[in-house]
Amino acid sequence: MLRILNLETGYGRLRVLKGVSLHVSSGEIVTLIGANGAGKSTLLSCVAGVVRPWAGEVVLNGRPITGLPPEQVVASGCSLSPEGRQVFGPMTVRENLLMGGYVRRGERGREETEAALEEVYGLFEVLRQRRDQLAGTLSGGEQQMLAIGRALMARPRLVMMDEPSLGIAPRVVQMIYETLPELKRRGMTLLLVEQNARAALRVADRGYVLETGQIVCEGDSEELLGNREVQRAYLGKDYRRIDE
Amino acid sequence: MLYNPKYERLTRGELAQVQIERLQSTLNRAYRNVAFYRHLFDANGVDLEGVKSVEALGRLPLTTREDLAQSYPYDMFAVPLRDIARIHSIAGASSAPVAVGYTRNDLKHCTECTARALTAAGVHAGDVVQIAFPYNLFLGGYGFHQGAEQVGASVIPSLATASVERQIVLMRDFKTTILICTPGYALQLAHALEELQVHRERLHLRVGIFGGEPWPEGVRQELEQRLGVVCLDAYGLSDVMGPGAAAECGERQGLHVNEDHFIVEAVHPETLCPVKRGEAGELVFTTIAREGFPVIRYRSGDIGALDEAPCACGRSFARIRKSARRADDRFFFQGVGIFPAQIGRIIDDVMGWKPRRQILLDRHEGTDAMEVRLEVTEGIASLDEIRNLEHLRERVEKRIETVLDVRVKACFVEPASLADAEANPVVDRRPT
Repeated sequence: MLRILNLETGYGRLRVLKGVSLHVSSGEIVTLIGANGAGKSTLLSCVAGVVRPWAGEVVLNGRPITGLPPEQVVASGCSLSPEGRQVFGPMTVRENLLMGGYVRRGERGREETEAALEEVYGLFEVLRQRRDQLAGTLSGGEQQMLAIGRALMARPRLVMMDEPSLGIAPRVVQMIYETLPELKRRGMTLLLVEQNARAALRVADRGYVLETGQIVCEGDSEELLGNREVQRAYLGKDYRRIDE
Repeated sequence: MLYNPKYERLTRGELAQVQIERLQSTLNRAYRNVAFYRHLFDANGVDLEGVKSVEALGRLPLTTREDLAQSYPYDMFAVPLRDIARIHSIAGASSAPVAVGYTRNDLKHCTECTARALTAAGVHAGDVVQIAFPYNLFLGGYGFHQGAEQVGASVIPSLATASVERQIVLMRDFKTTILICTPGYALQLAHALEELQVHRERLHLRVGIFGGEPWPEGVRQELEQRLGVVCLDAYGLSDVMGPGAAAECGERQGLHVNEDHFIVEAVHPETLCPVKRGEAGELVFTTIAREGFPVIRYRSGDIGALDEAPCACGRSFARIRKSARRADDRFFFQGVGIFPAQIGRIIDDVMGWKPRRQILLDRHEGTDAMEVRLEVTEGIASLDEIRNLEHLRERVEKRIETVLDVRVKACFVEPASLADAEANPVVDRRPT
């Protein structure tokens, strides 16, 4: 589905990604974990076309998308739910969602958009209830659901999520995380970036650990959860106690 | 049957992606956590970020067995000792032994690799697997044991130390279907079966999986005929990764390397340059899934050719076509790889001087035998000296047994009777 080879990028003279290679197979949930500043969000932004790559290649479904502008990346089947939600506050929930499906045009497009809207409402009932409310008045968790819903509106095959648990009450984090396997069942492929490594590894099939712009570890989620380095660095010392 | 079709059937392109990802993450981790590799790469001016393809691995320096020994006890470990779940160790090429640390995940991977090897050999949950390998500091026995349990078979850890008679009793009474041991030990068993007149029809043996030492095609034919089973080769590097690195499938056209765990190259043993595709060379291994003890471009000393052509079994992993030749002077005795220099050092230590020596390898009734001949310098004058020599001889035997875990016979020979010892330090008279 997604194949990244030796990806390098940065901001100005600051090199953030130093040759990252990873892949996400069709139907998988893959997580990229790492500390703040490791380059996780930069990687997603780079794939999404928001940040220009310096070197390397990004291939989506066998087609190179390296350096394509965001709208073309979305059109090729890959959407991003960005860090910090970034919903349009003065617009209603419904309008926000429609923005996510704007790549579709024409009569058929409208039908499809309605269908996509219905799917999103089916996934997050609360968005249906609040569809005419201004997005800015939603709680953090609801805004996060909206951001995910907006990414789903383009009916992508690959959804990239940047820190869906950031600044959200634990109960809501759990709710959001419960929807991820549902997305997988619906045939979607997920690339999930998280600082909340435990939550991410619980739903993911595989994971990569990014440290200062380089992958230092990868493997099945179960293996990463069992890796003591990962436990110490990303799961917290009293990992076991919290876990139970 | 494939144990893990998801990986064993990756296309070569998908495999290349998995390999480069794992290679890069292994290199990053090794550089950060293993002092030896940090020094090695810095000293050689290696730019790890320049490793953008599996082929670029060939520009990195090699790791030798001597490097591992010099890093004893744990300078090669990439994780703190408390993260190590098990340690296996073997005698080093020189003074220090080699100790290899495995994390829990490493042991799981080892289980996965041997389970794949066993599945490729047709082993399944209904089988009774008798493992007549040593279960000691050497990983061989444990590795296959874990894999056999993983595929659901019934396992008899009968050990190589049990007498052949006991092996045969177990084999008969528990209807063993799969035998795992060294080819040398299998020959011993075959011989004992004939001696004891146990007809192979009374046994249920179906497949023999033999490894731990190189064995030529002739031995395979002999074993198949005498034991009446299908004989398959399994390859592991006891030094660094245990069994399951590569194994034959039913096609018997070479040993499939678990390429999602190891990258294997073939290099010219002298120039150390990669050989042409398909040509024989010294096999060089890089672990790409190891946590506790990653090794990068490790010289195995084994000679083989790599074949990436598709195999009828459906596995996409490249196959090693092994050669019984070695790139170094290591020989195999009762499944243990031994360098003549290891024995030489023991002799020099015990004797206090350097007598001329020659190692004779023989096979009596299927059992490997080693004789270490030592040349006395001049005629023996007194009874005291004879007593002294006898004492030294015993100490040499004992010391070799302690250090290398093999029983040998030492003896003194007349002065000037080992004139050819320099040219032929090891005389191997075992039939091939």
